Amino acid sequence: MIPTITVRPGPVPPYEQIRTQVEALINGGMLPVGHRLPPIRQLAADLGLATGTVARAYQELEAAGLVTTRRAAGTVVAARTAKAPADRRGPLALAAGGYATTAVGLGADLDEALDAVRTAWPHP
Amino acid sequence: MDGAAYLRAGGVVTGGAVAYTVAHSSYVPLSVPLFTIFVLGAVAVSELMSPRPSRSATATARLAARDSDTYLPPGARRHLFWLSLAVLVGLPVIAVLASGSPIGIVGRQDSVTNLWLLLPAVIALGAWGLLARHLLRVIAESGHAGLEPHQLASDEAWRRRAARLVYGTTGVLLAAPLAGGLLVLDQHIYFLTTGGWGWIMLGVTVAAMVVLIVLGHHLHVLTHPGPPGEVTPAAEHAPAEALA
Repeated sequence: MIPTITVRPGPVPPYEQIRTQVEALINGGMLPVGHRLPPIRQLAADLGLATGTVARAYQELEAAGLVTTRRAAGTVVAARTAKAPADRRGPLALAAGGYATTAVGLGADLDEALDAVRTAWPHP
Repeated sequence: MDGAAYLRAGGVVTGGAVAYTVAHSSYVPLSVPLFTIFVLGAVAVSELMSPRPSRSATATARLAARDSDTYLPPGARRHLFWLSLAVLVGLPVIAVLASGSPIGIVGRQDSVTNLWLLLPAVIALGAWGLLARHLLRVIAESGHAGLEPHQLASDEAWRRRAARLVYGTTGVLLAAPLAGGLLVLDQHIYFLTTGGWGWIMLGVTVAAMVVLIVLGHHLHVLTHPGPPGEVTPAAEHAPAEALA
């Protein structure tokens, strides 16, 4: 089953509609790594849009690291790589701060709070 | 055979007759370009007569790249590659071997001049090669007719037919000059050997027959590329299983 996207008239720009739908399909696993997306001209013709609109959506997907574009292979879904520790350290500290504040407000000690994190942690 | 097929066949026959006449005149270099113009003109006019599926009214698209190779017969690119190579090697060899012939296609000059006389043919065939490559990409990337089963089927049929038309045209444009050249070389050898049947003449004759068979195959594809893929009222109401 090949996934499809639809562009509807409305306040959301067409390029944004394409970007969000493709992003959702990649994140949802409907478009596997290495899947070749249609060329810009093909997608633009199918959707009845200008090539520049589709090109902008592809550029934003590429900037987000979701797809890669190569001259010979075209645009393909990129392999998802784990973020570098330096990139995730800040967001983790921010989230931990919020959680610690909530735990302290509830009267929990450190061990109890860590136990709650261990319980909530997803197991493969 | 429908009207468009008659037109394409007529273009090949008329182009061939004109090319043959010109090849035996002082305008030898124009032979292949004129044949190309007649064939491409007939194909272009026939395409204007042929319907194609109307574009989809809804802005919905499948997220899969369409590949022009899927619309071509199996091994078509490899086949055309070898045919192009045969033309690229064969025509200069024929031009050199036929130099000095009293009636050859390029036989009134020395071999170097004969090679220069092939330049218009190389330009005409090279230009078509580039255009054919572009056309195959346009065929694959042009807007679809819709995502309903009957629309997908008609869309597929149209793309297949258009790609086969490009394939057939390319084959005819390559095989016809090569076959013509081999037959003229045959004639040249016949005069050189004063009517005797040497082994070389036999080899050239066999090669010419093989190329003529290839030409026939491409002429068949050119005249019968497949159904146009228009969405008929009957097809619109046909169940999906019937189209599968």
